[in-house]
This record gives sequence, C-alpha cells and structure tokens, in this order.
Amino acid sequence: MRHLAKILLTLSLSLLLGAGCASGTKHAEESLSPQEALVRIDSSVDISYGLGRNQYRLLLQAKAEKMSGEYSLDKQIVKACRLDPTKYAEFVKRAKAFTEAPKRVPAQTQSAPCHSPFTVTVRVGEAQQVASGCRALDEGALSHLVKEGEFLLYSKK
Amino acid sequence: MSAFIAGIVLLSFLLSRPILHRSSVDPERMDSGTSTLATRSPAAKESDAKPVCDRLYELVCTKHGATRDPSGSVQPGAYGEIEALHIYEDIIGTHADWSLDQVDEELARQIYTPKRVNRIQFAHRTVLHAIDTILDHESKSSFTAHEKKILKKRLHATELQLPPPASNYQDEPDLFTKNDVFYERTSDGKMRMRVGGAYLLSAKSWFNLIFTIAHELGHSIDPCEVRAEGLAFPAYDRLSACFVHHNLVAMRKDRTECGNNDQLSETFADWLAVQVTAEVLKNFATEFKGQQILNAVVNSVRDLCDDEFEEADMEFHPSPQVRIDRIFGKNPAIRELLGCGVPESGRKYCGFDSTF
Repeated sequence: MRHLAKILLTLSLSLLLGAGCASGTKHAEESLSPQEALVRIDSSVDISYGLGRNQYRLLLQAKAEKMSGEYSLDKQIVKACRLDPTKYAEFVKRAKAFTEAPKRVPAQTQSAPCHSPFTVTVRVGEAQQVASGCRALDEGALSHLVKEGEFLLYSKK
Repeated sequence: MSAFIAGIVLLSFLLSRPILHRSSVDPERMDSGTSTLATRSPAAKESDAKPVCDRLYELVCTKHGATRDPSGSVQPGAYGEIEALHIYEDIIGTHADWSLDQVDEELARQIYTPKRVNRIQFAHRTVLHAIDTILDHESKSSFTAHEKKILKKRLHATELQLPPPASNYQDEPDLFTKNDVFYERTSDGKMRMRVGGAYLLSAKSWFNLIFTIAHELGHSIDPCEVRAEGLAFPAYDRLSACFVHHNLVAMRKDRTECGNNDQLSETFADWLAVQVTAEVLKNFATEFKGQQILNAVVNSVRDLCDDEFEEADMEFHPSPQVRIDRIFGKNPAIRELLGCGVPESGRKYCGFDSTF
C-alpha cells in the first residue's frame, strides 16, 4: 500500500509540476549566457549525506525550464515541489562553487572513520562535478549548502 | 485529462497522508496522558514475555504507528522531520521578510523548548553516570585504572551542544529540522554531541532517549575513535574479536578495521548503549507492568527499524535485525527483563573480558 502511495504520489507530483511550469518560454526572452540558459533547461544539484542513523538526499533539478526539488529521508520523500527559477540558478552557482572548493577531503581518506559522509554532485548539461567529504571536517560548508537548498524548497515561489 | 490528474492527486493524497501531512496525534498531549505508573512490582512475567524472546526484531519493527510506554512514545519514520519542516515553513510563510538567521532563531525557540532541553540534559547526565559505573565495575584484568581514567576523560570531554540560541549550531544550521542525535569530532579535535530538532518531536520515550544518547556518546570511546587517538587497549581487542566471532561485525573481503566497510564502531556503540538502557529499564521495572516493560523495551530500539534497508546501508551499521535481535535482544539483562532466561548454551554475550 505504501509503495502504491509513493508511485501515485510521484506520478501526481510530476503531473502537477509539469502542469505548473507549462509557460516555460518566459525566460527564453531574458538575456542569458549560454551557460545560464543551460542551467535552466538541463541541470541538477544532488546532495546525499549521512547523519547519525539516517540517509538524506536533496535533489534539485531543471528539465526544459521546469525547476523542481525533492527532499527525502531514508528514501522516503518528505517534500517535493516547484522551485523559483532565479533562486534555483543562484543555488546551482553556490553548489558549483562548493564542489570547486580546494580543501574538500574525500570521506574515505580520513585517519578516523567518518560518521557523516556526503557527496555533492552538480550537473550542467553534460558537465558534472562531484565533491565528497566528511561533514564534521567541513567547517559547516555542507550544512549551509543544505540549509540554503531547504530554504529554496520551502520558500514561497 | 485534468479530471484524471485530479483523481490521481486525490488518491495519492489520501494514501500518503501519514507521510506528508501533520498527524492529528499530538505526542506532547499523548505523553501527558501516560504519566501514571503502575505499581505492580515484578518485572515482566515469563509467561507474558516468552513469545518475544526469539522474535524481538519482528515485534519491534512490524508494528505500525507509535508504541506508547509510560514515559512517552516513538513516532516511526519521518514524523519528526515533517513536523519540524512544517514549523519551518510556517515561520517562513508568516515572516517572509525575515533573514535566514531570524528564521533559525525562531525555529530553535519553538523546537528546543526549556522542557525538552532539560530532558535531553538529564538523559545525558544519566548516560554519563551509567557508563562511568559500567567502567568502574570492569575488573582490573579488563582495564587498568589509568585506562579507565582515559576513557572517562574522553566521555566527559564530549560536549553536549543544544540551542537556543540558534548560533550554537551556526556551523550546522540544517540540524534544526534533522531527526538525528550524533557524535562528531571536529577538525580541531573537539568532541561534541548534537541533537537534531526533529528528534525532539518524534522521540518522547525516555528509553529511546537513553539508548540514542548512550549510542552516540559511546562513539567517543569506540575502538576506532580510541585507535585514532593512538591508544590501544587489550580489552578492546578481546571485545572486537568477540564481535567478529559472533558475526556482529560483518566480515567482508574489502573490510579494513576502522576503515572501509567496517561496522566495528557502530556495533560497539550499540553494545554499550544496550547495557546502559538495560540498567535504566531495570530501575524502572519494579514499577512497570509486563506490557509496559515490553513497550519500553520496544521503544528503546524502535527507530533502528528501517523499511527501506538495503545492502548499501550496511557499510557501517549492522542490519536492523542484527542490531535488535542479536546485539540488543541477546543481552542477558534485556532477556531477564523480558523473562527469557539465559541465551542458548555456548553463546556468551560479548564483554571486555570475552574469551569466547
């Protein structure tokens, strides 16, 4: 029953999100660089992280100018909704900067076990950047990124 | 088409209500209604509890909804997270002009109430005292006085950090809506324990609180943390060998102790938390009835269940079945509480003095 609910929920959310973003040509008239345009039509930010006993995932994406996001805990979707296009594009920039930060240390190379590993994947078109690390050794960078993603998800569109 | 969409949406809404919408049950109110303790003395009657002895996992994890013990309940799944995010959403909606920091301050104020914070602090003190006592009772053949002192120093050096103010989690502002209690060692070597706001909303049972805090505090002295400090204790080697011997730590080809694919630190934290929880349960057992004890036992480990558990989740944690049936359920004190008697012959429970 729960699985049926999830399938139906996913289907209905997709339909809702699709229906809600039907007027997607609005931004094509804005003056955007090719890279900015690509962010709006084909990109994603995927943040997966473990904390205590739980696994979290924040997935924000743009497909053909329809921006959507979902937040899940242990594979259970907690929140799914449309995103503000401008704020989404800003968030992709922030996430890209996060993956490009030089001090990130992969979780598996720590001298002590990492209890809170994370992976951040930013994709724009075909280009993909991945950063892995350990939350406790990241001086709050991941947590702030997650918080901004959540704020984007829960703010009024 | 629109009618079809509307139908699908309505159906999914009805089916997913427990997941995506506020529950009509208010745990705070529920707790206040369960404060009366029974006065019948003995712990669980053997006849009441015997059927659960070898199927504790099934009992704990196949139950739907919250289980209520005299101290409170544990809401399974994402309940706490959803509640916390609803509060977050309400604050953002009501104060659209507020900055992120202002929103966080209000969120922390609403979730980390003085009553909840006091309860966590009390549980923390209770756990610290219980682990100190466990170490004190270990014989000289397990630990020297110096070794005990080192372990206790690490335990007490682990700082419990709680908001408000929200700035206490300035470097981890997403924790206000997370369902976790966790230990971590920062890049400058400081040890701390933090409590996600969603956990305060979902776990009201004192026994769950004790198990959870004991597990996380246990990490401050787990074999891998101790090893990372350059320390080596023979008692830890014996205990680790016993875990491996009894398959409480999964043996894999690509396992490196305290590294990749190793469950040692999590198994240790569970093992220690079980002992602490068993002591707390024993203290309350003189006042609880059989079913109340059973519910308290269930709530202790209720959130270890995981419907969506997959092989990939087992890199560091043993499976929920191993954790509940074999680390928790085989503990002699837990078995005694459940009226289950001594485990089958030849299978001793692991300890610092294990020779297996």
